[in-house]
Amino acid sequence: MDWNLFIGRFHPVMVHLPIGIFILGYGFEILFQSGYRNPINSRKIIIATYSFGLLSGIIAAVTGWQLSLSDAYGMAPLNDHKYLGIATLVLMLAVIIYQIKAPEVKGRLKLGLSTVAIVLTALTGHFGGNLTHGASYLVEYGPEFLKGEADTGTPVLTTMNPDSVQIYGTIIRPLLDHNCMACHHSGSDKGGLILEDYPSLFKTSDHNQPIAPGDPFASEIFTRVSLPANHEKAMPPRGAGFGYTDIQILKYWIENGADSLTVFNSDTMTPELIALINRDYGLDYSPKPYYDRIRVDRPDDDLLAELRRSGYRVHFLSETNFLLDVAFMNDSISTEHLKLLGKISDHVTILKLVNCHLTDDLIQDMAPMTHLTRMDISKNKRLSGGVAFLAKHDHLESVNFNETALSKDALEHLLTGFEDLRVYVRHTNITREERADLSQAFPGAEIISEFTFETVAPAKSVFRSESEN
Amino acid sequence: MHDHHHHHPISRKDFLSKSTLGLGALSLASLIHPLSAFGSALNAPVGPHFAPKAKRIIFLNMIGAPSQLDLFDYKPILTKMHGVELPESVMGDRLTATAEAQATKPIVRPLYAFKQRGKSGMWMSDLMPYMAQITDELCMINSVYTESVQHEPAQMFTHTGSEIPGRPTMGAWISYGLGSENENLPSYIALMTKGNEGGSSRLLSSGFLPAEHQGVQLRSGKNPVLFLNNPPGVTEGMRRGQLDHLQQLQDQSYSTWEDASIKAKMSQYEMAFRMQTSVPEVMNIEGEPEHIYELYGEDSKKPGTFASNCLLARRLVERGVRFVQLYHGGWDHHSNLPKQIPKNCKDVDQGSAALIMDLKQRGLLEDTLVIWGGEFGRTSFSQGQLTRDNFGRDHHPDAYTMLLAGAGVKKGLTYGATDAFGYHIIENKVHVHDLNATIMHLMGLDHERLTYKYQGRRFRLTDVHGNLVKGILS
Repeated sequence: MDWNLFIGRFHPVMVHLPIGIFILGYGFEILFQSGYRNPINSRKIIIATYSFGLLSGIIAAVTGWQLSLSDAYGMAPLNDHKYLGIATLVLMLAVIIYQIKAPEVKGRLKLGLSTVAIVLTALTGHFGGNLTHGASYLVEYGPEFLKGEADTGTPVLTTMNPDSVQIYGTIIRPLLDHNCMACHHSGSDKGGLILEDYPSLFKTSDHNQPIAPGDPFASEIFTRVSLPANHEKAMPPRGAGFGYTDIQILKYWIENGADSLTVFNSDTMTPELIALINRDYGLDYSPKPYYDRIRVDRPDDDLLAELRRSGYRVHFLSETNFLLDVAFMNDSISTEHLKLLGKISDHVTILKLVNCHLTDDLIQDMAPMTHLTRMDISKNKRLSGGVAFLAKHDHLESVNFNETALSKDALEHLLTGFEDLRVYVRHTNITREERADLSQAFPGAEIISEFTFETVAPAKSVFRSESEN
Repeated sequence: MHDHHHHHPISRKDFLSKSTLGLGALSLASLIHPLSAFGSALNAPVGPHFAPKAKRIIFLNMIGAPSQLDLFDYKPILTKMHGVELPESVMGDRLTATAEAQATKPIVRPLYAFKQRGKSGMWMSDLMPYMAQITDELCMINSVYTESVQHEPAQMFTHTGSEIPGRPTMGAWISYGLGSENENLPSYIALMTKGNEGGSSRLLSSGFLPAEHQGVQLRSGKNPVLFLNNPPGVTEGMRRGQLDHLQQLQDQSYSTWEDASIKAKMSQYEMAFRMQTSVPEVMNIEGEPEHIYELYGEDSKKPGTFASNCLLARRLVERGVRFVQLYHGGWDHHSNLPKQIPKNCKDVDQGSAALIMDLKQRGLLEDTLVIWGGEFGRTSFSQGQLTRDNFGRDHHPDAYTMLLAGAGVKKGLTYGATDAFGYHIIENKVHVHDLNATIMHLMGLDHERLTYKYQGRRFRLTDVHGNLVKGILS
């Protein structure tokens, strides 16, 4: 039995009475000031009504105080309600004294003071309602302009650069403030647990360490907030608590070291987590292509000019990405051309040396391209693949061997190192059967060759087939 | 030439733009094309803003609006409730005038059997037996919607983001934003099915963008580009000499006035001269091997057919043309849909599918985007009388299907959903502005940044709208 809580729970029952009575008294006063004075409506009636209101208000305040001891509510909104409530009562007392002691003061001044008291009453009631129902309760189904910046507990991150969202500061800290701080701060360390700042998350409480970097299940916060809501030990004891996405983010953060500066990283996130964060926070962590993750400096303009003069078409990927998309446009390539290419080997990501008499000897001497992702060496009839050169490129995604003398052995050799490569092998020395074998041996690779349709039978409409039946 | 820098009789506007904003533009242009920044800064493209997924687009435009309910968006309830009045609760309050005038609105079922195809299980009708074989390459968006219920404004809207003519089309914007990859061909080319054109020159307009970004229609037959060939009696040499003399005059004129439009005009003359050779070369499909004709279907040997245009489209993007738009009309099936739609499907099905697979087998689909679709959809109820073997479908802008394939787009994905009657969108709505924003994004262009100032305000393809459809990006 908890007397405080038992009595405290009567606060919501009691609290509506003083509000009603204050408003009744205020109504009497307005009538009185506008000249309606008869035996039922007199200064005495007004004073009596306000006094009864004050009495019931005090009872409401006491029960409220007892309820507030339960720590079930957030600190800041609770304080607003508490002190505003007390202020309202004090002001109401002043109104009553003023009405009694200063009959000579003009009615309008008195009515002014009462009006302030009534407004305070309304505000107190509103904050109290917010405590129980949440700040957005009243206007949730109202017109848009009323809703304003109602606190839903979910920070708005859509305007942030996903790469600079620090998990602790932007997501974890607001979650702790919203769900845990009411009970676990230095003024109220329930369970010996204080969560008010970053260092306190690692101080062992009565139970486990609140956050154990690297191990979610040894972290008291994670284990408690992920319990079913009706579990005796579930946290927080009241309110909506942590959502599924938030629990997943908490887990990700702990697993990745729980540093206050940790940011999300597409490489270590599960597709599920990426989808959840995209849905709930509007942040996009879908994995970027390799060429978007690499930053290179702008190459020398003279060098690019030289390349263009000798028959290359050269483009930057974009105005901010200085990786190069390079194609040789003439029909005969030489060692000198390729040497020139070697000078920008750390910039080329797409390379097309198509139909330019590229041979095995030439390609063999080429400098490896650090960031090469896509290569097109099609229509070089004497080229048997240049596989030894290609195998030096870790980031290779696609190679076009169409109309070269590529053999099955050469492709097999290449695919052994790059199991998810896309390769084009149309009109090469690889037969249909060999291609089928390779597709089976390397299920991750995409081996694309001549396409043919299956024979198509004329389609029948439902009307026609019905009339035939 | 030595006193060249002492007088600069350029216009006030030119001076201002060159000295202030112009410097910024110059440095930007030099970021992209260090050479062209000073060589021909005039026509330097403004993008790409970020690394593109696609370098080229082929838009297969089905003018008249094909019925998504008979081809792509499978709704079994239409079969179950065939002939039953479409409930008002389904329709809601947006109705076209023609639908309003109609006494009854009987539900009509899809005409041909639907099946799930490929590994992806994408639904497609038997009407498209070739496209049905390549569904694993396609991204089907069943939740596109648009503004207008009438063809002309809706077509204009799909092309320019505005129902009112006068704005640049997507092809023109892309040409303006990215420039050409082949200096011998226009960067924006249109091909229309002979006898069933559908499209019109209004849909190729560069609006207020410089005229060089206008779509150029290549016709089948002897004169692919009207008035391009030399008149009888004028040889290539004579034409060359004429242009050289003109060049000298224009150079003089430019050194006096420094008016950019002089250079622009000259570069257009030169382009036209080069096209006298390049266009016949690209239009001559006789050198294509037999198995390629087989792939595109028997029609592909007949110049001017949709299939033949598909083959040409491949040849054009192979040569670096940025934006190729094919038009095929005759999809406006208000009545007689059962007789008409199979004909149209036969015209476009194999060519469309063959084009996508031909691009794929050549490696071109790595950086080419193919778009297939019309200006809006059609209703799930019959327009006019529903008889045992005849019905029609009215215009329906609230939900229709577009297909995408190629660079940067998820394969085998069916995106968005309509209600059980295919009437309203219930999941992942894609407005035309959203689709256009996404297409620009795939080309490396930020639809909010690619703007052009005209008559005091900056215009863009997506006006003040458009959200990226992230769900379809690979």
